[in-house]
Amino acid sequence: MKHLDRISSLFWLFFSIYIFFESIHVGIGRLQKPQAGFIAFGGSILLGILSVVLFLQTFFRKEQADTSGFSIPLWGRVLVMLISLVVYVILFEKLGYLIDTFLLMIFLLSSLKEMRWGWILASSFLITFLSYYMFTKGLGCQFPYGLFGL
Amino acid sequence: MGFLDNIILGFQVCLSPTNFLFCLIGVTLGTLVGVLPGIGPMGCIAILFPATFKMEATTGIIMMAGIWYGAMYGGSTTSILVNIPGEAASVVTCLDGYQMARQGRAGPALGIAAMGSFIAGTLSVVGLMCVAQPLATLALRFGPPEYLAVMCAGVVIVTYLARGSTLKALMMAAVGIILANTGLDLITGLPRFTFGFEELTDGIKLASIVMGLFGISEVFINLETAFKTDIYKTKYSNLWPSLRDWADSIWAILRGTAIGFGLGSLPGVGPITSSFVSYAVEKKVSKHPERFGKGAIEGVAGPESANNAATGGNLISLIALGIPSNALLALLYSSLIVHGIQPSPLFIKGHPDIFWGLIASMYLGNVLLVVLNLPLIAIWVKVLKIPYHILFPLILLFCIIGVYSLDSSTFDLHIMLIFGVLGYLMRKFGYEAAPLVLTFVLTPQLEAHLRRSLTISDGSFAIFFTRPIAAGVLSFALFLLLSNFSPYLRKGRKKHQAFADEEDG
Repeated sequence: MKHLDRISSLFWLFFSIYIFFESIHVGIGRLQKPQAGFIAFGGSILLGILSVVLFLQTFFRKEQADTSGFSIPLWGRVLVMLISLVVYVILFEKLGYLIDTFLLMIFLLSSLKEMRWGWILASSFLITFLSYYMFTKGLGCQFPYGLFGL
Repeated sequence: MGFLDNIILGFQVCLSPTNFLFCLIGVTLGTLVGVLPGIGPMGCIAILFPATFKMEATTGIIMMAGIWYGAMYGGSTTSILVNIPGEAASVVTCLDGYQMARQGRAGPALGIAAMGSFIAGTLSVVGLMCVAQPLATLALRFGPPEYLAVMCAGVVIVTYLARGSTLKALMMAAVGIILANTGLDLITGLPRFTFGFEELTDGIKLASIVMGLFGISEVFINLETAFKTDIYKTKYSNLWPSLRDWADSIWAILRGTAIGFGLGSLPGVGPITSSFVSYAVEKKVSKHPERFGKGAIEGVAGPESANNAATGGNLISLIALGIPSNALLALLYSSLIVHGIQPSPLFIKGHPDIFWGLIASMYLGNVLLVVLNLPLIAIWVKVLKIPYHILFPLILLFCIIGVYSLDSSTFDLHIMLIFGVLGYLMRKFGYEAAPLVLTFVLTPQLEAHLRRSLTISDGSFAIFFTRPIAAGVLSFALFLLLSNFSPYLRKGRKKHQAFADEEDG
């Protein structure tokens, strides 16, 4: 965990430095008359100090064997899911809700376990149309039509 | 209006066809997510949060509250039958509930869990009804410094009770403050921290954050583990506990109710802590503590009552002070804000239909839950068998639809995915999302109260230490923060963390 804490504390430290300068740019005002960047300025100082404390702690802290971390095969599964979701969002307005969601469901349902294609296609079709019907008719949501006006 | 008139008004509101339907939907969904490991009430409320924007405020809050306390009922089913808590607050129920199931007493275990939950849930609503109004009257004397102090104390308690490091929880609170500053400035109306994105002028949407942090990241984490549920084959036909079971459990139920409601009314303390404290108390007061862990019915009755009573207690600070005490209540708070209703001490007076409608719906919901959980137990056991590879595409789809339906914006979907990845990494790196969400929701109010306080005091921070209530509350918060550095006081916190670790394990 020490190693992970060092990485994350540095990330938050750089983030806080960025916000610190950005809030000065926005304007922090005076104590009598705080301005738009005042709270973010305070938040960035707090985050910066805490990040430094966490970073320093990693050098003085005693710790048992590291049990956390990322397992590459499982981490890969998450990455594949994430990529599929990013692609889905990018194509959302181009393909339209029905086609895009149908393709996503096929991918997701077939990704974790081997199942019969007939079952996957039927389930994807059902999920897509039921969700479309439920949210457009029931809750008045509007989805993009996209390709073929679907 | 008298007390009876208010109750009648409440029932008139909650028995309207729409509100009744959504109360039923809420408690059913709550039971469902309570039963299903891999999705909790927070994830479910996050997914349905945007849908509440299209409902009446009362309907939305009745449904969201129903999901919350419904999950407390449902969580016990998996704990007893599968030894897997469907919901974090039911972790401790596994200890004796599962042992009872192994001894062929799953029926009485499920029965006492449901009846204890019903009694505790109902009594906590009575408590909420009695405490909220006087507290709201007292809170009318609060000025900006007092509000700021109470909010700061709430955030400190949430970080203090964080499962992992307090330091990291505080860091997340700071991140929440920073993120909440995106968009137009409340006073000048100028855009800030938009980084050139026009879509950020309205700020980052809470729905994108919570769905990412709780919905998407939960799926990512679960994809790393293979869910396998082996239901212990046992009879659960005779669900009504025997007279002996009742005699053994009734005091545990009442003690659990008092503990849950009392602890739940403190900001930041929720059903999880209450159930563990109740279990510890039952073991302590029992004449036969050696029975605990081996199928003692008090070990099921106490914690299950405590976690239900805590939901009523938790609502006090939101309704009486207008301050959400945890991330889940922050969603309820935001749902009201979206409808133009500001939770504050004036809330009960200004919106009696919502307050009393909610109270009455909780009575009704508790009755519905007993009906749903006892005779229909066989259905919930079947639900347990739904494999995760079928469940997770549905969760992802609901997250996507929920966020997109708010503004028909794919930008919000990208933000949700970013927070999904952030939430996944935060869990891996040992950071909690709850303090981030809580400060994100509270910051606009916090900022307004801070600015007002400093304007009143002409820029002097002494205003927070010269007014007795503000000074008292801030001193308490400071004491809690500093207690992390005291070895003696840290012992108490370690105990809480041990509970939480057990829960994770």
